Amino acid sequence: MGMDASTDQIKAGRIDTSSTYYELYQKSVELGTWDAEKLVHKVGFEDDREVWEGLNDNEKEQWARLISYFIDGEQAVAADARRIMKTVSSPYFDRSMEKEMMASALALEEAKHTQFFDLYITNVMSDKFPQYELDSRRGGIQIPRTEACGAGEMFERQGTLQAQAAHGGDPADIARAATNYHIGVEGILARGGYFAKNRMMQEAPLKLLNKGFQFISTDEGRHITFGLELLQELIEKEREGLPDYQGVENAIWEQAIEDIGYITDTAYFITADIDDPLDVDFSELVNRGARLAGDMMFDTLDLDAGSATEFMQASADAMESAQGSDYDDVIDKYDHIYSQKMAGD
Amino acid sequence: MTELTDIEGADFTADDEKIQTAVEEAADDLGMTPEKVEEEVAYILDSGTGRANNEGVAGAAAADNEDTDNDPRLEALEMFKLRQEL
Repeated sequence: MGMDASTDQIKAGRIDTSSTYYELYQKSVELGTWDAEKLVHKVGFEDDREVWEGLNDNEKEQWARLISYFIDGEQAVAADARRIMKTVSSPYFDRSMEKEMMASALALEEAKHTQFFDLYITNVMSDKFPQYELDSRRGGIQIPRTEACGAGEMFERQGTLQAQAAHGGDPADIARAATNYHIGVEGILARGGYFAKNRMMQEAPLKLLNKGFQFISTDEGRHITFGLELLQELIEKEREGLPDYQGVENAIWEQAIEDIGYITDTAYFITADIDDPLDVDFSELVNRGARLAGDMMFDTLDLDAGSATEFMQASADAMESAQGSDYDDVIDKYDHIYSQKMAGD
Repeated sequence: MTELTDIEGADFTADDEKIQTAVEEAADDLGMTPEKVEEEVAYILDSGTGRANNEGVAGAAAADNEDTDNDPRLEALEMFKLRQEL
C-alpha cells in the first residue's frame, strides 16, 4: 500500500498488533478522535435552532426525553469507564496491554459524547431543559426525565455492577457488568435510541444532532465489539471447564433479562407515553432492540443459557408491564429535588 | 477486517462501481489510498464484525442526505470525510 498503509503491515515490539483489541484501539485512534467543538463549529447550530423552533411542545418533549437519557447515560458510562480500565487488568482475563489501550480509548470517547450533548442542549434545546446543568459528580442528580424511566435505574445499576467487577469481582461478576454496559446500555438502549432518532429525523431533521449521533454511534459500535470480545473470552474459559469461570453464561443471561425491563420501560417513556408525536412506534422500537439483543447473545456469543424465544417472551412481558407506567409523579418529585439542589439547599 | 463490498445486513442501493468511484475521489481529496479509505468506511459500518450494525449511520441515510443515494456506504463515506476535518 502507498502513502497511508494499513496498520497490520507495521511491525511492533511488545504490542500484539494482530490482537482484535489492538485493532479496536487503532480504529478508535483513527475514527474516534473527532473534536466535538470542531464539529459544532463546522456544522453550526443555526439550522437546528430553526427546526427546533418550528416544533410543537409535544414534539420537543419527545426529543427532550430521548436526549435526557443520552446525556445522563453518556456521563454514567464515562464515569464507569475508569472501572472498566481496572477490570480488564483482572487476573481472570488473559493479561494484555491491548485491552487496557482499548479501555482508555473508550473512556475518552464516552467523555466526549457527554460533551457533545451538553453543547447541543445548551445551544439548541435549553428551553426544554430547565434542569440539566448539575453534574452528578458534584452532588447533582440525573435529569428528572431520566430518573423517572428505566434508563435512570439502569445507569445506577450499572455503577454497582461495574464497582463489583472492578474491585475483585469473579468472572460471573465481570460478565454481569459487561453484559449490562456493552449489551444493555450500549448495544440495545443506545442503539434503540439511534433507531428512534432516525424515525424522528424524518419529521424533524436536526442536522447537527444527526451528525453528532453518527460519530457517537460509530464509537459505540467499537465499544460493543470490545465488550463482546471480553464476554467471549470468559465464555471460552467456562466451556473449557475452568472452575472459576462456571456460571458466566448464566450471569450474562440473567443480566440481559433484568436489563430488558429497564430498556423497554425507557422505550415506552419516549414514545407511547406521550402519544409518539414524531412516529417512532413503540412496538417496532422494542422489536428492533430485541433483534439487536438476539444478534449479540445468540449469533455472536452463541449463548446456551437462554434462547431467542425466551428473550422475545421476556421482551413482550416487559412491554405489557411498561404500559402501566405513570411517570408524572416521579418527574414532579425529582423536579423538586433538582430545584433544591440547584438552589444549594 | 471486512471488505466494504462484502458487508452484510443493510440495504445497499448504490452499485459497487459507484461506491468505488466515490471512494477513489475521496481518497484523492484526502491524500489517502483508496484501500485505506475503504477500510475506514467499512469499519464505520461494521466495527469489525462483518455486518452493518451501525444504526446511527446505516439507518440515517434516507432522510438526511440526498447526495448519498440512500446508501449506508456512501453515508459512512461522507461521515469519514467530515471526520477528517475534525
